[in-house]
Amino acid sequence: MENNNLVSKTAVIGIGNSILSDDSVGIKAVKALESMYKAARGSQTYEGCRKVGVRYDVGTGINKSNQEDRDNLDNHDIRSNKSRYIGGYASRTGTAEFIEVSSGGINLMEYMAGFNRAVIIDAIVTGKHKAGTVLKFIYPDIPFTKNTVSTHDIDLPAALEVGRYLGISLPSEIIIFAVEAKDTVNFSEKLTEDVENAFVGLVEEIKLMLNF
Amino acid sequence: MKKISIDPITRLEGHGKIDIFLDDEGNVQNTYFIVPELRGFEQFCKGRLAEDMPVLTNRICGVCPEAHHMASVKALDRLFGVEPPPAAKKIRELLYMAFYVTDHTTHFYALGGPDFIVGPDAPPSERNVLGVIRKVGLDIGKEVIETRARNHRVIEMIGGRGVHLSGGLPGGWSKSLSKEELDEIKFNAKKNIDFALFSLKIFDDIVLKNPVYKELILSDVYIHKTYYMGTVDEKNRVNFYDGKIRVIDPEGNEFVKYDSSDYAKHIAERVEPWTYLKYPYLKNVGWKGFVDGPESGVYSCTPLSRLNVSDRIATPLAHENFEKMFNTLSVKRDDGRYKPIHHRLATHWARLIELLYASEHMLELANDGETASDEVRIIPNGVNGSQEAVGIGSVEAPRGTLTHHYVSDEKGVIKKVNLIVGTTNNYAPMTMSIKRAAEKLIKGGEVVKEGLLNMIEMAFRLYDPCLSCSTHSLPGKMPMIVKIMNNNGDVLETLKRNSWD
Repeated sequence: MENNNLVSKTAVIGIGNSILSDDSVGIKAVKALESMYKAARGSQTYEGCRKVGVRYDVGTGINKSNQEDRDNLDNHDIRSNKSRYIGGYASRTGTAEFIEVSSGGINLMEYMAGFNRAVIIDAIVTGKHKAGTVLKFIYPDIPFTKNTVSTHDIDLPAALEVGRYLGISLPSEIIIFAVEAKDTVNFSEKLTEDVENAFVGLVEEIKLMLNF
Repeated sequence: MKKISIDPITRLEGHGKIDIFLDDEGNVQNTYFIVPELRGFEQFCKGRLAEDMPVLTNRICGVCPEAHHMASVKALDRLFGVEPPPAAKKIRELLYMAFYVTDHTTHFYALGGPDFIVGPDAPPSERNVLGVIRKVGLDIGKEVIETRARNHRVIEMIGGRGVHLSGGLPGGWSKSLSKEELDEIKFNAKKNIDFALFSLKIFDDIVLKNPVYKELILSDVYIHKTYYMGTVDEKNRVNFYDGKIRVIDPEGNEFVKYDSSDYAKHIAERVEPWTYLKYPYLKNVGWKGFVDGPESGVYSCTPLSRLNVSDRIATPLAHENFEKMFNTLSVKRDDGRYKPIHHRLATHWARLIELLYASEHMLELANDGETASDEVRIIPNGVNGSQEAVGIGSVEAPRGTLTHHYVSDEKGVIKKVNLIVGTTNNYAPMTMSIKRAAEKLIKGGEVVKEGLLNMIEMAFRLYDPCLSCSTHSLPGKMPMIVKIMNNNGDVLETLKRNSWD
């Protein structure tokens, strides 16, 4: 059972290469979210409300369509009155920190230390979805996204296992937003059109989830 | 003829492929290491202000932004024709030592170490960083994380930002260091020295005292007699930040020593039709293919290469360990230098010696009175040329010599960029090592399945390849699939290992 009235600390982590076309989508999203958060709150705290004791039942597989994932997320919309329904939900206050990370594995795990929740935004290349499709995953059912693995590091699931084994305080809840990328090879500060078109929806979705 | 393909099986479909071709007798004829490269960096930089390059180039790679930042700012010193004050050079170098400590620590404990500490034949489920921690102890695992953390703090303190540092400017550094900051760095450096010594002791206890592992290091599977490259100071001692680039031949004779601005006179890049990769080689020896020996221009540029080209190490404890490694695996020449070590797996040992050197040198720099000076920058008056300016700078990235080459117009607007990143130096030897490992396990059409993937992995893991700046990244645990095909391209057999196995 999770604690009901803890002060929530959420790490919103954008990961990727800011000058490598669609690989920058996570970095761009976290920057946009940080600006919106500051504008909306004017402070570092936000009132939130979330389901307790049950994981969000969304995005457990990459075969789900974006709309299916979106529908599922809506069922557990942390802003909605439904989510304040007594018995399953509890309100709490919390803070969010916005972090830019360039590579995955141990490095990424270290950035998550001390947070209750982590939201990771990265590009993914499955080749199975239309570019711009937003996929959501809940740890431990997470895929290898573009930057959560590296030749000079271990992958994220292994890094989290190491962290927990060593007694590092890691988030009980890790949500990954992975955006199907079209171009992660050519240097550019711009997203490709399909990913650009999906960008506002991606940011809005995370904003709703963070309730600000 | 059979064809064997090894692909990572993650999202990077079709990327990072190793093809092994067998001849009619079923023996290995050739191996191809194929990784598509990132494209368009030069075009991306054209028209930008030269002084933006240190913060642009450190975004190329998520693994070693510090190395790109340093090579870039050194190139700018020359492009703007300005010599940084001593404090600026020492502050840069201080940060760079902290970076080396984190980088080498990660490689030894998370990537290279499991094969030795847990054992090359251990099941993959145990042959990983968790297996290492279980073997050496929980406290050591915590110390690995703490070592990374305290050195990341130093990098952030000096560099201004933790991820993409921004302290480097043409002619110096953006801030000086306070006494309190230097005291913290000294404290951290001392802890680094203890940690490096402990790591070498682990290597000694677990690897060197185990005859099986020693035999593995000495095994002919992992020997290539190539040229070696590395940066040395005026006394031919290894230096990561500055000096001349020294190349020795397979016998240990100095072949050439040059300033990085002359790199194009000495290094050429071989283009092969089957890959985007360009293979750097010694221009004045010539390209003879993927072969070793004095007639082949193939060279290596790794921690072992850097120690091979050095006469000694400038810090006492690291030098002690340098002597120990060369006395174990090499012999002295008539001129007092050691013959180069060709046993590639000794690269892991050399990496730990470099870890100790970086730690000791970090303490030296923090104790150096000049480092504390407030004079950290000389502001340039413009670029070093009336119509066109050229700036070339290099550092030793953990994975090899990293060279940045910029050409700008008279206003400092970039016209041309060329980078030779650390890992690319080792593409040819990596290809050779993969071939050697494959040859050992595939004979007469018989493929020894057990161990093939790990032997091949071990062959190129020792180079600590970082493909994210030179190429598309590959998965950390290198999930692979091996396809064995007949002449018609029919798949006869598939060997597969997932990343999570």
